[in-house]
Amino acid sequence: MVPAVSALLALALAGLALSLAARWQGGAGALARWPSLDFDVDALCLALAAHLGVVGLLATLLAWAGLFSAGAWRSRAR
Amino acid sequence: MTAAAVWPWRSPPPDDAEPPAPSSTRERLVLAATLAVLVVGVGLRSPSIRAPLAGRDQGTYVLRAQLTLRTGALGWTDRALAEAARARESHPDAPGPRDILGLYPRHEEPWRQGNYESPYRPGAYLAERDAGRVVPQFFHLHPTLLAVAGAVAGPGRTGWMMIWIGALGLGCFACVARRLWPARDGPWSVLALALLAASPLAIWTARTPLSEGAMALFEIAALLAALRLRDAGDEQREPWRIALFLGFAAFVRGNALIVLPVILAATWLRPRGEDTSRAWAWAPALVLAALLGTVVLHALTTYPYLHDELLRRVAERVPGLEPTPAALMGLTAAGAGLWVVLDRAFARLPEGARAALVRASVPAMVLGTFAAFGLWAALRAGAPDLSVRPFSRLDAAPILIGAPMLVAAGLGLVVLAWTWRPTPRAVWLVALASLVPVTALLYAPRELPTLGFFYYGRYLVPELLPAAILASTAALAAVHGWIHPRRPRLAQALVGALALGLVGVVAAPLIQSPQLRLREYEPASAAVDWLAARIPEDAVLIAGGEGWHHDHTHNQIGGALALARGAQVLPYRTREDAWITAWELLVAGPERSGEPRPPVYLLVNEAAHQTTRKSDGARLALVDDQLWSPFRAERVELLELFVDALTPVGDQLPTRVARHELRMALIRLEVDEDALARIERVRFEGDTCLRADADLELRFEADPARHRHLALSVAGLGDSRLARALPQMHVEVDGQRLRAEPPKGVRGRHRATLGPLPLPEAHGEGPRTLRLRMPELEPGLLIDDPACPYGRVDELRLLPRERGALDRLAALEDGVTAVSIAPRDDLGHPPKPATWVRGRSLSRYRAGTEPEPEIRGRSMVLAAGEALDFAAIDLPLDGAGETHPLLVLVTLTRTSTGEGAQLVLEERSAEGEPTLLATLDIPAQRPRTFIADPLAWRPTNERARIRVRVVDPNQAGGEVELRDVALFVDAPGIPSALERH
Repeated sequence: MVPAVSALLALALAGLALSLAARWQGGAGALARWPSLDFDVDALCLALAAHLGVVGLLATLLAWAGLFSAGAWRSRAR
Repeated sequence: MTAAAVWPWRSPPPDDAEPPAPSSTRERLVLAATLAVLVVGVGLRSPSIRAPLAGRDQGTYVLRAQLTLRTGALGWTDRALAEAARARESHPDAPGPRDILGLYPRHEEPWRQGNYESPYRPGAYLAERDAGRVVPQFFHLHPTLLAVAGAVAGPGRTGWMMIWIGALGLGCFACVARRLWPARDGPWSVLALALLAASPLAIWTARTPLSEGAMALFEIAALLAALRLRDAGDEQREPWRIALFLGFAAFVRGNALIVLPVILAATWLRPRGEDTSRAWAWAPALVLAALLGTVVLHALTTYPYLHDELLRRVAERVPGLEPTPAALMGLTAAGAGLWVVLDRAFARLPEGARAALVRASVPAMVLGTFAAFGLWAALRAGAPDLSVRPFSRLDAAPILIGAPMLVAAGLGLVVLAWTWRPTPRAVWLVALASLVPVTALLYAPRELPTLGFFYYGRYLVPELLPAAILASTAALAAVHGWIHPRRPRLAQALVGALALGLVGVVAAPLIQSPQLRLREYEPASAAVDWLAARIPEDAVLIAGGEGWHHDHTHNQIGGALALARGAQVLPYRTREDAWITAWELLVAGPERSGEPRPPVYLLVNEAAHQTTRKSDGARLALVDDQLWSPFRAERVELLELFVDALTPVGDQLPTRVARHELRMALIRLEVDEDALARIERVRFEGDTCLRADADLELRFEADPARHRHLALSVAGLGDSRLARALPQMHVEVDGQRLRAEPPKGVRGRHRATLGPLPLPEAHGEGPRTLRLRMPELEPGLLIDDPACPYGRVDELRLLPRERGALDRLAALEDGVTAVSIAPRDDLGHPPKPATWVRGRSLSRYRAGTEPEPEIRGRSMVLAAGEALDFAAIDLPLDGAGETHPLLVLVTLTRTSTGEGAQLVLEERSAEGEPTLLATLDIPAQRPRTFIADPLAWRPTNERARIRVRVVDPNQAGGEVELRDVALFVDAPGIPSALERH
């Protein structure tokens, strides 16, 4: 996996995990409140949508700089 | 950064928060139904459609993603053009580099220099021709998201992003519906979600890698955040969230540049008091910054797209306007400044005045929406013929959204105008609602060149389809609310039936016509892989041809190979173009540089429409394998591709499936050294300057047995723009006019080489006379050399007859491969692979047709009583040098002749004496294509001069539109082997 994409992927997964953990109102604690269905699901959806936008913008900036692929990084390193 | 960006969403409940009350049974049922609809909706959006071919928007997005995955960048450099420009600098007299550069004629307006110098291929533009700088079409966020999916899951799995976007879009929409109609009030949110989940238009758009899905997601997410703000959400955060999602949308589609200013204008009415948060005050600035940012980014990286989408009409209407990227950015910055000034002015308005404006905006928007549809109806009523262009984007609404939902939505809008009294704190909702009338107004005018669903219905998906669904749900909920207090059972029965009916109308086509979810163009990626595996990395492809689907070969297949695989692809417009390009790449270029010859391929479309041979039922595909010297085919790969796709229609759901066939030959060219040595390369002594006021007369010796064609190159062009006029040079040999270019109607090229042209037969002994004269030209085109302002003749090349390749290679083991790639699921209609045969085709692309015909569409107009003489062609020969028996296939695009009219095919002798070849009965007054039964012909000469005449004894003024005359060799041919993918 290439550096730029690895970084992007790591950021993406980190953001996703963070969003999920944060929005599920305490993670495992939510299960304890069952049968309440009062999860903040719309905030979770917003977080995931925002996450997508941020990843897309980051990827766009990387590609604008010509640094989205492994070959680009290797040639830049040379 | 991503983690930081999502951190604002982290708002865990306070430690002392009371556990929420258990949900009611109704709420649980609604949640279960919502989850079930979500799962079904995501399932209906899977798998995504891969769209591996260039030429249409979805293919451009996917190929852009694969380009970015391959190169790491947004655009690329066309190495063939850059090298040609360098060669022109180092060898200013050499014609070849000008021939290569002239394949992309450059526009001359000063503002275009370095910004948008030429069209290039579908999905890309030439920003700087001589640098070979290619910039892509469209905004960047969507294709780079596809690239991210490709980086994570593999380059062939960019479509995974579409499923994720589709799922998120449904999820956000479910949350919006839940905010509007909480579960305790009934299952309205499930109804709204079901209408979106089951919409065939929404499903097709979500599966196809188009940007409308991403646009819809960000707009719905902004709406969700605005609803949270309405519902006493976090005033410190929600305005930022709304602005952020609108900002993302600004990087997805160009129409954001039109609608975001309207949203920004609506935010002038936001609350301004001391009790409002900083987010209220500054969130619009984030939208403004995103608007500026997207204009700057795209002006710098895909300016031609902005020009063609937004600026072209303005530039055309304002003479002298030079819409450079800097001007565009400056204009946007000025607009931003104006927004700030007006924002301050609105801040000084009394709170009550702003509140009144916000309240008044709701009926205004509802009226605006009705007015937009009224405008559409009026323009539609005034259109002379609804079946022909131009079309309106709203034409799709009654069919793809459906009349029942539109009627319900209209009622819903009335309800909205009646019941919604927003305060300035709901200004973001008002701003987002303004998208509906603005979008409807933008889509009302009749300006679409064609209307085929679903492709041209997708514009409805981001704004109007969700708005129609929400408004129609509101209408049903309102009807229920009115009846329920008095007649609860009636309310449940009536509105329940209406809701189920609405869902049924939307979802029924999925059951009645499951082919609506066809995975279109499925095996096309296998065909691209098949070709790519046969082309070395440094190869140059000359792609196109003269056949019916040459555009598909150049645009779709050539585009896929160029963007996704990095192949260098040059256009093959005519056979002459291809020879001139190959001469520079394989002969002249290596002669100048001393470098080895690069691998060069022709990727040439089948030469004419396929036909079925009655004697054995074989489906014949025509390959024109004749090559001018010094080239011969080292290897030939024949590819047939079957793809299934929904038949685009403009007046109903596209429930029919069409099978498309694309056939082409990949021919590896090599230079035959013996043939090269036999080419007579004549350089003339003395004055060889071309003139406009007098003929340049040159004499040369030609051996009638050896020399059949001539090519002429011109040197001394310097820095001039003369290459654009050289194709109009008057060329005569022994008094006979030779035309170097196809009839008008085919886009011209700029060049320094003319030919190969058929050398007229000599009618006596002694040297031949070549007369050349340039047309009168404006001074700006001429060379800065008073002695020779029109250039000078560089070289005359005399070539032998053309030679075929297929028979020789077919006799060799592994010399020819023929494969038919078809979908694994043939839908009950097994494809029948073609049999390839050699042959020729005479079409509008042939130079030298006399008299020069009028070109209508892709056909030549031939009036009754007149004749078209095609230039001489070399016929395919067998191994013994004998002509083959031929099947002649005539295709007419349209006829206006009367009963009893006939088309007469004749062969002319060298002296012009005609011999009847065949006659063909022409159908009278036929408005559509007519392909005649093949006619058998046994030619006696190895060079044919075909004449076509129309005889119409019973009517005056009739004419036919002749698409082509194809000559199929009536031989066993090469059968193609079927592969299913």
